[in-house]
Amino acid sequence: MYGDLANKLILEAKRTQHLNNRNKKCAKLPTYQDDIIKNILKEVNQLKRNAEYLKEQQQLGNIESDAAKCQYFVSLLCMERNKRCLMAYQKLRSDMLDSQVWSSDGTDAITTSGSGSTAGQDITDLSTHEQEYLREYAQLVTEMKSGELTDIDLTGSMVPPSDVFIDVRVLKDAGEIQTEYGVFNLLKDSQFFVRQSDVERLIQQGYLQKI
Amino acid sequence: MSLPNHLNETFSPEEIQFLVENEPIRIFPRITTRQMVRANRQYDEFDSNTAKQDMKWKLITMDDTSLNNMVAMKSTQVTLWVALILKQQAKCSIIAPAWLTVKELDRKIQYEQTHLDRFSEMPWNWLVLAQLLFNKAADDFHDPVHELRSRVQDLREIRQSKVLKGLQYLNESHLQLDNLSVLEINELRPFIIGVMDKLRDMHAAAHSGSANEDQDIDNYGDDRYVEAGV
Amino acid sequence: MDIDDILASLDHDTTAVESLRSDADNYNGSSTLLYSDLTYNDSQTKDKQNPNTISNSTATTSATITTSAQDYNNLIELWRNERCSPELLPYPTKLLDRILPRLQQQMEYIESLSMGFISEYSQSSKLPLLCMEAELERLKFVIRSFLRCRLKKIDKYNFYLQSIIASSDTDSANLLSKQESIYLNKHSQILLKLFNNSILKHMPVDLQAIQDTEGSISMVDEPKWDQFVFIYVKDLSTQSFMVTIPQLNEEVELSPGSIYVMRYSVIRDLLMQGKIQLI
Repeated sequence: MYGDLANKLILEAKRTQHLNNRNKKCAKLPTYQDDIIKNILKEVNQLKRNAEYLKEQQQLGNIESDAAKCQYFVSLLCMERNKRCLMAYQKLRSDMLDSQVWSSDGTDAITTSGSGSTAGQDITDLSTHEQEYLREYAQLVTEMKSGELTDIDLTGSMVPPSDVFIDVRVLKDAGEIQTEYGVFNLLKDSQFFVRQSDVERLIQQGYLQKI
Repeated sequence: MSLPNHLNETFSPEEIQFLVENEPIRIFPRITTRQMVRANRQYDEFDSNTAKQDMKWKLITMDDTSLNNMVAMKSTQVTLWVALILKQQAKCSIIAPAWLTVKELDRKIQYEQTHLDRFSEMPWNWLVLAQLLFNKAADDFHDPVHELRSRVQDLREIRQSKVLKGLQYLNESHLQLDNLSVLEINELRPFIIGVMDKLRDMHAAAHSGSANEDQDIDNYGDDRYVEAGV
Repeated sequence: MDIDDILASLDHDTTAVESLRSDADNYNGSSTLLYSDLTYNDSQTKDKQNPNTISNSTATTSATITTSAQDYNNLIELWRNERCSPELLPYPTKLLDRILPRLQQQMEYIESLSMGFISEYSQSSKLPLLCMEAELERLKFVIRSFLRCRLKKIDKYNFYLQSIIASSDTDSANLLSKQESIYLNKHSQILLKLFNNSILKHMPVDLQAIQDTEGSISMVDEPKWDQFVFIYVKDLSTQSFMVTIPQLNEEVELSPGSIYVMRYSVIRDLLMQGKIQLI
């Protein structure tokens, strides 16, 4: 039936959106539904031909007017609905691509390898037009970051800074580290007051513990 | 999208804390930063190679006068996030606001219990401020912190239950919510906005056909507030 | 409160009012500092000072310093408004033209302090530097969050914004910064290309428009003008404001210092005049 394919596409989009909303970090896009989209476009053109035929017949006076009018109107509505579904699907995907660009610092949004990568979007799941769009949008965001807004670091964290400096205890010897505040010799059980961003790595690796 | 979805038309708890940290608070510094300006200047000129001078506070989002004029053990007022850094460095003790004592909290709790139709007057940041100070300046309170904590929790719960009772009066027109704190508002926001948006749509749908409103609907307009003002 | 403290704070005359006020512990909106008259009609932007004077160290008058504090408070208020309002609010050109250079100068100053000069200072007095760095991070965060919230709305309403910018010349003139309007145009352009290539050009000619408002449902998103928002009526005077909810034919009195949940369209004018803020 007309509209079934579009429905399928929207359900697919809905599922994607649901996954995206549950995930605080931005989700990856599933495979682009090339076949469904091609078939919907075919359907639209089929509907268009129907509508034109009906209009023609009506003008020639070959058909009873009420049923034909109705059929004609339904064809138009189906076309419009198909268009809306296609647009909504594409809009959801482009929105998600935008999010990826913003959250990935604009650099590693694209993994070119065909294999599934955890870092970013698997590019083979995107249509060629989407790939092009992603590149162009990443470029645009890079441009936005430069100029008078360089200092702000637009793609930086959206979590307010708290505890820019923290006290840490050294859990295991880690040698010397160099920071703007001088050299720290990280001996086991010693304590330091350091900039959190300077030691984030060492905390993750288990050398330091936040007090 | 350039703004993560969970920040849409609301604030994260971290952002609420950030807002509260911008507020002033009184402290007892344990350091002195006030300098005799003229003497210091001469000192600089002649002795700058040998002398270690104290660094000036130069801040761009607040008036740094009080920070450059701290005298040990003489109370002064600074921005909360600065106070928390000073505290972390053991350079000050924080003076808890007047309402954050067992006695005052008890008074508020009693007020909440006797006035069921309104909220006691609390500063807009009370809940967040209390939690911040409990966590980061617990040793600066005169009252035992566990008693303060439990009273703050009680107060919060009483107010929450009032809010829940008040929700039945949500309507498509408006709502007045005086004395609710920034955190309480932020927690209620999704629910209240969601319900009122729906009620508005229903009202619009119900009245799109006929212009003459039902008398009943007009009347219930009078008690539709969650009247919480003092 | 200690009388000595009151007297001491009166020494720095410009701050006296602030500290007395804030001690009142009243609900006082986002900040206990006095607001300069914050409106979206550019009257917040009386340019009393040259931002360059800020870094000129200790001798700066306290009036200048108070203004940079006010600028920050205004920024916080605008950030909250932008986050809570359904529509894109006007870009505060002059405010950011003051704040951004100040930020940059501070970064340079901090860098000069931590490069070598730092040994000049005694160990204990690195504390101001810590705070200056922390402050910088805080300020950068607010500006970043503010601008990205705006970009999000620019994306969400791109076709709507383009249509109002094209149609009127007065209202929308200060809606976007220069950089934002470049962003709006470029992003719409590559989006349009994407839609064209993957969908629209395969459609029948009469269905190829992207700004399709002809069909049964408009495809251009507009802000939800009647969305409910939380407002705080500023404590600027004792005067209340009367607003009308046209759909209900109802009048509501908004009193200073109170919090309400109202339809955005009803309070939009008051917001633009800086009489209320969104919370």
